[in-house]
Amino acid sequence: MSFLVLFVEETFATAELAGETSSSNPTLRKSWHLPKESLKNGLQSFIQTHSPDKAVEKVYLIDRFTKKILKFRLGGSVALITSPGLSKYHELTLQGTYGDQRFHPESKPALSSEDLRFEILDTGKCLTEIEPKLKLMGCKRILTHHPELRPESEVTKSLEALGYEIHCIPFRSSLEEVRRGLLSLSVQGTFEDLENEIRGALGDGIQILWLGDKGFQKNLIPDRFGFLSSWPENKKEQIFMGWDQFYFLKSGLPATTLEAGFGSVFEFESASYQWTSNQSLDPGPMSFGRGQKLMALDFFVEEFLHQGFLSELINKEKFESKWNMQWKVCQKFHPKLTPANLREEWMELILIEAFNRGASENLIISGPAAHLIQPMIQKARSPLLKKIQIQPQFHFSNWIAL
Amino acid sequence: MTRFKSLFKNFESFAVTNSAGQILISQNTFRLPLASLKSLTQMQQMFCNLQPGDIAVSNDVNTVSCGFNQLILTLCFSLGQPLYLHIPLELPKIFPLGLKIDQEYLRLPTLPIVSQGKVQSDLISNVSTHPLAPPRLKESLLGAVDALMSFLKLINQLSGLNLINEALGLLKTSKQVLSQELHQLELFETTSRMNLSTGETLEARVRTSEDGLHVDFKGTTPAQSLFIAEHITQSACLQAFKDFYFPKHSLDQNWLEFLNLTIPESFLNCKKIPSQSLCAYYGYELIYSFVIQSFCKNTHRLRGSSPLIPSYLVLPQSNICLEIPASLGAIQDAKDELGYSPFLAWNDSVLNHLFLTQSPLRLEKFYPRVDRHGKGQADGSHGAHLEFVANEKITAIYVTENGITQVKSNKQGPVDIGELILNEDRKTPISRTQTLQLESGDRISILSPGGGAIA
Repeated sequence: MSFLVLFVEETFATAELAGETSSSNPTLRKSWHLPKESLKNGLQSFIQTHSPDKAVEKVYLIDRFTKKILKFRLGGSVALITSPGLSKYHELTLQGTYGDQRFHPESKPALSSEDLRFEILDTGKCLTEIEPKLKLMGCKRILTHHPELRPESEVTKSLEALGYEIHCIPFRSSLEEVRRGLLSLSVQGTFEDLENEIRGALGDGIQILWLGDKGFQKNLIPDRFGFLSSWPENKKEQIFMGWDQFYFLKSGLPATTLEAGFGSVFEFESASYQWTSNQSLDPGPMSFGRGQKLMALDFFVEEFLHQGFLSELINKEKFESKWNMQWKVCQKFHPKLTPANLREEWMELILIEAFNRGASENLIISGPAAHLIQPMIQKARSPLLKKIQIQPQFHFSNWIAL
Repeated sequence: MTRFKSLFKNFESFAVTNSAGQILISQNTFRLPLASLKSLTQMQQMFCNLQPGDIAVSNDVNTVSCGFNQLILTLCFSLGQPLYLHIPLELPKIFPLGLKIDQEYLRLPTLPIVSQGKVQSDLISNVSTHPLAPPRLKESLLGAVDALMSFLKLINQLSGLNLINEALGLLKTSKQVLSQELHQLELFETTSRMNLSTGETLEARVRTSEDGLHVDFKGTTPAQSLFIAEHITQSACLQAFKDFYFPKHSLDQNWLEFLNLTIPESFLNCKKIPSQSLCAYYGYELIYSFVIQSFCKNTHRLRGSSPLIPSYLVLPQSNICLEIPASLGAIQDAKDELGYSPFLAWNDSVLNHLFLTQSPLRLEKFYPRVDRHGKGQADGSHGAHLEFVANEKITAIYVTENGITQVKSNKQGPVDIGELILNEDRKTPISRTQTLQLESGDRISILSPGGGAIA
């Protein structure tokens, strides 16, 4: 039996075809990288080329949404039914220090629109008053935060029978759980789109398992945003380099995102420059004809071309003219800066972040995109980079048994 | 993110100064004594002779900290030149309102608690066992020392990287950016006045110009029962200016140069804070909210909020003290253009605590107290209506100021007073301190007054 491991990020996806000889020791047959926008066609041709006779029965899907999606104001799609006074619970926020609590002044997304928030004491109103309104507004998803609305409640079952997708958050849930539930339901459509694309390529009968907090599962609501709740004890600590985001994985700790992954944007001002998370809806990389700003991944275009990796998608001439334009402006302010120096500083930044999260000096670099930095590490002058080890071969298939 | 910024990622609230006391970088500085960091750095150098790796602590509210319950820890480290990392340690507020649990805070001279790489455990133990020391002082101090020592380990791992130039570059850029943005700021001049329930009057003429913010506290009355040190007034004004106009920037030395304060002799520049003064705990919040309101008056961007001292519900047997804010801040305006509340408001953890734990007093309902706040050019924010149910026989003490004195707005208002309802027995006006003997199943509702408006 064959299975497919699919790692999907904002810009690229990596597919691995493996044979399941035993669950703890899968055999990798082939891996392939492809741009995310042509996922369906790419998967189809990958399977036809490498597994024309053996049907793929399962897809293990690893898809961590970027932080960006959490910042969007998602609204309108999810109804929220709560006990009195709690319909704005998920919006509570505070700036500054108050007592011994500290909060960041970041805006929180408005996850449910005003019209779709209902505070009720009597749950019977769900069917008599709320349901007709939802029907009118075409809302099909409901999150409840009410002591009397549980999955086994009659009202809940009646609503399900009417075709509503309901998720009941336990009444004494933390603010974070309520937000996660709402967010998960809000972006349900996006997940469904991805599932549909995979089914379109591999057939409706395919079984799709998502990686969440508790390993691979069929249905992750409300844990769509879980990655790995903790990295197994027997695994080495590492920086996992994805196509957009990097994660620090250390045994016994949840995976944490590092800020300046390949998807981060290079921004320069008069006397300083920095890497910021990409908030644009057109994310890049510029070398692939996307985005308007230089992304970290764009600094490795030579490696893309040298390794023949997706090189058919790179328009070198067009990119070079854009690159020269931006780099010229940057050099006005920073005449001594070279792309090589900048790349080393960027890698130092990633290491500092990992050290700050408790990394030791024995950490390794792994992940589908790690090979892109190998030439840079070999030539590095920075004392910090000379200590780095890169895992030469990385396979997602090894994660299946985690 | 830059390499230099990412060094401090594990500290939620911090400021870094060089040996001249200039702030190079800071983050989340609410209640950090930004205006006194220069003198603090010099004091640590002079009295403790701090060397790289050493840590000193100080909490003198007259010159350094923003409240009796705040300790400032300073670590000296080296990045080619000596730098000083300052972090606040907020301890539980000890009750200042004349209850029996009232107590003066321990005042520490500047103390070196890590010297030549060694934690001075005896010193920390002696301080922590002092009769005036707050509970768990030793654990709190050792926790903060641990965090600073981990930071030192990181610095040692990075030897050989040239990070100080990056820090200086950031400072230079920030000056240019700030200067450009100040030029785009809408110029205005306004006078705000607030009669406080304690008898004092707070008045300020606020003016923006291309060279920065000017605040003249002319008209503010002398100290009667409120006492605020000058550095606290300065730090709160600076923070309010930054939070209101440039919420995404982080404060550094350049900001201090753009703030011009005039503070005549008044309760805002007291030299010595009496130990029982409320403002030794809340002075910063008072000034911060007042200045923010002055900006609101000009821009109409946000609701006003009365800078009231919160109320408390104390459960002495359980050692629980719930702070109940006078108003909910700008929760109702969560979608305003800033996207967050710059005011004091309910915080996540208090509500989580009340919902999640087996508290002897459980929060049953939580409503905004709609339409009872002050109305004006900028409305006051809503009060809160909280209903608690006792899970067991307990004694609760409710302490408030806003229950006995009406909240005075600038001109418009006044808004409602706070109320306490015990099993539908409406008690209003309530005394400053109210002891309630609750049986299991008893219900109490607390209605906080809401914010005053700006005329």
